[in-house]
Amino acid sequence: MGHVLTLITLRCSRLAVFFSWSSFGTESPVLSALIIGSSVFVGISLAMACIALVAHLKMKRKKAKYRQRKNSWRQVLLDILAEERAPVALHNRVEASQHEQLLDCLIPYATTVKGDALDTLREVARPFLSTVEQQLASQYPLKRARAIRHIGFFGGEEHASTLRDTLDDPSDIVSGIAFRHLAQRSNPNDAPRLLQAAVRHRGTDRNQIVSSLTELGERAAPFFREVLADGNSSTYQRVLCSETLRWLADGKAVPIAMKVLDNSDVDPELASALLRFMRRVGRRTHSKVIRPYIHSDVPFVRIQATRALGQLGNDSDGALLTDRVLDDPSRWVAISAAESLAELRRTEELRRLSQMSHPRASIATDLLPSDA
Amino acid sequence: MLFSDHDVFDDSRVLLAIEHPTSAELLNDRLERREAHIERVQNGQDALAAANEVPFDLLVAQADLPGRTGVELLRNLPYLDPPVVLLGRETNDDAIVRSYEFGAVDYITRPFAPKVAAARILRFLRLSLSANPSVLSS
Repeated sequence: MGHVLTLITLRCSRLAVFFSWSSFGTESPVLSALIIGSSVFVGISLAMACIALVAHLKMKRKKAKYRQRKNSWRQVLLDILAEERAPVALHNRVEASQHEQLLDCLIPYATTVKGDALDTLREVARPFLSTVEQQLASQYPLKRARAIRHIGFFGGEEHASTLRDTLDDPSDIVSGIAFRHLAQRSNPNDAPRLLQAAVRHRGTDRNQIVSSLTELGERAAPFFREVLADGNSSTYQRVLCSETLRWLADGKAVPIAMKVLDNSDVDPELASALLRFMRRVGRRTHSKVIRPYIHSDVPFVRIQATRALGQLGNDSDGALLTDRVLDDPSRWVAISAAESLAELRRTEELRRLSQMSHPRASIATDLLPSDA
Repeated sequence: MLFSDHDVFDDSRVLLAIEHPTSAELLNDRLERREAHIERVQNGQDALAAANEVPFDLLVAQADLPGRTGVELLRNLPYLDPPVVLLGRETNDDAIVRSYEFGAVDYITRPFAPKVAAARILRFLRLSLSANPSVLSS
C-alpha cells in the first residue's frame, strides 16, 4: 500500500513540475496561478510521499522487530518444551503489550503437540489469559475472536464457562470458535448447550458441526438419542444428532432410527440422514424399513435408500435395484443402485444390464469386475 | 534398555522430510539436542534428491509430503533399508497398517508428544546405526 501511494504521488509531482516549467517566463495571470497551484500541489505530493515512506519504513521495522522477538521466544520455548528451562523463563521476556503476540506464537505448537508438552504450553500461556479475557469485552468481533481462540487453546477447566457464555456472542465467527473449542473439551454435559447453539451455525458446513459434536464422545450419545427420538425437536437438530450418532457408530440408536423411519411423514432431510445412519450401523434384519424409501418422491432420499440397501439388502433386492438402474428418473439414483448391486455382488444382474441396448447400460459396464 | 537419555548420536545422519514447519522444528530440536546431523527438506523431490546424494541412517517423512508422499518415497528410495518413520495426521487404523506394509518402521500421528516421538525416532536410529557398523566406526 505504501509503495503504491508513493508511486502515485511521485507521478503527480512529475506532472506538476512539467506544467510549471513549460509555463515559466510568461506573464499571463492564468499561467501564474497555474504555476503557484502546481507548486502547492508538488509540495503536498512530496509531503504525502514522505509520510508514506516513513510509514512504510516504520512498518518494516516493526515487522523485523516482531520477527526477532518471535525467534528469541521460540528458542526459549524449545528449551522449555525440552524441560531444560522453566516456563517462567519466557514470562520474564514478555512485556504487557506483547501478551497476545506470544499467544499467537504458541498456537502452532498447541496444534502440533499433545500430552505433557501441551500442558507445558498451557502453563506458559496461563499468566497472560487474564489480559486476553478483558479483550472479550471489545466492541470489535475480530478482537473477541482472537481472545476466545486463545482461551480455547490455552484456558483450563475454569475457562469452560467463558466458552459457554461466548456461544451467545453477537458475532457468528466468535460464537463458532467458542463452539469448536468447547466441544473439543469432550464434556458430555455440554451437549445440550452445543446442540442449541448449533442452530445459529446452520450456514456452516454440517460436517464441521458434526465433527465437533462427535468430539463430545460416546458419553454424549444418550442425549443425542433422546433428541433424535423427540418429534418436537427441530428437524435440523435431529439431523445433527443422527449424523453424530452415525459418526459415533452408536448401535443403541438403531431402534430409534427404525421407529422414526417407520413414520410415513418423516422429513426428507431427516430420512436421508437416518438412511445414512442405517447404512453404517444397521444390520441385514433392518432392511425392511429401508425398502419403502426406494420409492420416495425425493431423489436424494432414494439415493440414500439404494446405498443403504447395498449394505443391508439381500438377494431379493437385486430386482428392486435393477429396476432403479433402468427406470429411475434420476441418473444419480441409477448410479447408486448399480453401485449397490456391485456391493451385493450381484454380478449377474450387472452383466445383464451392461448387455442391454439401454442408455444406462454403460453404468453397469463401468462397475463390472474386469474378469467378469 | 536399548539406549539411555544421555546417548549421543553425533555420527548419525537423519533426513527430515517434513513440510509442516512446527513438527519439523520440534523434531529437529529434539534430535539436534542428541547431536544427530540433520538435513531438512520440505518436499518429496528434494527428499529423493538428498537421499540419492548421500546415505542416511534414518528418514523421517511426512506422510502427505507435497511432491511425493511418504509412501511414494518408501517405494523410490535409492539405498536399501534406511528405516523410514512416517509422520502424519492419519488416525484410521487401516491407513496406518498400510504404511507399515509399504515398509515404514513406525507411524507417528500428529499431534504428538515430542518426547515420545523423539524416543521412537531415536530407537530406530540406534537400530539403524548398530546394523550399519561402518557408519558407527566412521
